[in-house]
Amino acid sequence: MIAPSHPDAVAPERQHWIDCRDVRLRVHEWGDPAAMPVLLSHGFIDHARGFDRLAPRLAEHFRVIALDSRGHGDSGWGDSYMWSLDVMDVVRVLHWIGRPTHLVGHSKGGGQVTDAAVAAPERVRQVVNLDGFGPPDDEGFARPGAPDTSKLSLAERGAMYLDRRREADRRLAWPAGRSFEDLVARRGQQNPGLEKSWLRYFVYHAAREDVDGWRWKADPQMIVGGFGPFKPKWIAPGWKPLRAPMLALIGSKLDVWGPLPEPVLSERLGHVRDVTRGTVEGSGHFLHMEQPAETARLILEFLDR
Amino acid sequence: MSHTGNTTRLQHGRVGLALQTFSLRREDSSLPPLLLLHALGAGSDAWRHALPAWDGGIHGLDFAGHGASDWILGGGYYAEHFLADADIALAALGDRAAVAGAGIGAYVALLLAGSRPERIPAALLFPGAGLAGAGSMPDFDAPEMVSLEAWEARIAADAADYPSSTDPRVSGAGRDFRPDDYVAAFAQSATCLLFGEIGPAGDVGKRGPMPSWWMNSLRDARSEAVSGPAATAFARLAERAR
Repeated sequence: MIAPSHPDAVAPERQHWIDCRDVRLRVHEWGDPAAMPVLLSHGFIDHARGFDRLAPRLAEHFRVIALDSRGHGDSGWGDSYMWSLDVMDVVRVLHWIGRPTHLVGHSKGGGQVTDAAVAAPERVRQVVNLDGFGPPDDEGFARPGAPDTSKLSLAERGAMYLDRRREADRRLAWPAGRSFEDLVARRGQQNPGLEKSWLRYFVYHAAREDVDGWRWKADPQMIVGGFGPFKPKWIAPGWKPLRAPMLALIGSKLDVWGPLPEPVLSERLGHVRDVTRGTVEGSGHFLHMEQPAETARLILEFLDR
Repeated sequence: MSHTGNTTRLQHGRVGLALQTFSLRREDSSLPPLLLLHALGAGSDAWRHALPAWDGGIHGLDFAGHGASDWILGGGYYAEHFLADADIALAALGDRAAVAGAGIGAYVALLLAGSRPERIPAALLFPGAGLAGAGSMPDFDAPEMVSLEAWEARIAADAADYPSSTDPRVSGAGRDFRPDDYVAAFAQSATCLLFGEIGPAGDVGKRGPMPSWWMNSLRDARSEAVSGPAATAFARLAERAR
């Protein structure tokens, strides 16, 4: 299959591997290597090539580096996934870059780059968080089709988690026999806001063709999921020490994964010392894919160059 | 599942686990199997010199990263990961067992007994490494900032205390938060929890203050403190598990 093209997308100019102990991370680069660096971090089950429309716009002024999180894109898989591991991976990439860097993260990546800026303040200039402010306080985002667990006790939810983990060894690889169009249809259900040609471009880089069919690059073990006492309301208080100024962007359209109800969002951002807020008109949760030009404009307006 | 000698290999995702059989069930036993869960950084061998009189069969699990179990590629150790390790061992034992744990193994035993109350007639908790985690809640007035250098230094320092079969990164599982309301939900769901005073390793001198979840759980009507040596606590476990 010939790689789908998209009139607005620019492939990275350079790619590198970064070793994080026993997992290898892939980064993709655009722009002048001597320019001030900007590090981009994607959300859950996405990948760095999802920035192929945002990155070239930022690369007019910056060296842009997009990270495939462990388990995603071209990066290596781990046997277990934890928030803190992803945050430390971002910090390791900052060490690899070796000079103070602007951070831009989407969704899960937005929360993680903010945590990385707290962990490595001397390595971070400014932070742009694209709708990555955590799930609502109680039950998380209500995903369509997901079982309603809100009435279950914690112990019952623990049992459900254990049932899933007992079968985790059946999800070591994605099944055979799927076509590229099957994968496009699947992702299209989750992202009805993406235009068709971009959806195909995005899915092409999210997947690979094996002899027996197309498979996602993302590790299916991540879908099995974890469990624990973590509460979404713990997220923002952890940002109190953040020294870097933050641009907090949301989309104007209510989407499955955000934005949070305004009172919850403003309460969380109340913990951030220096925050500028903005809204991308006409976008749902996937700002950089749905409205890349306007998202880039707001980011460039915010960042020191 | 596969057997070599007295070790059964189990699978949790991509991570292979070792379940060691210390003794087989006597045919006329009225006891369920006993599943032993070790403290953080140790391994099932730690029980070898503290095995109780128990004719239902005694089995010791090595949590991921410990003993003869695989290390987790990329790290990523947390108490609920060990909980799922223990649940996979429970399944291998026919989905009915008494459970005894030390340290983080005790915390896991409590979570398991609460998640699987109909399969675990009683669980016995001993003090030991990894019992308290990082406390009950993050300090929101002074959130912790952990640099990469500090993170790496911690792992190196913890490794000095562990046998070479233990992945130094397991120490991360001893730094998670264990909120009182979270632990209480599992304690209240459990059929019977017993709290041993002195761990089988006799490490009573090393331990700090008991975590608040331990003290709170003791107030629950289904819980019982057992004073005296480990053997006394195991005898009580046998009475409650029969």
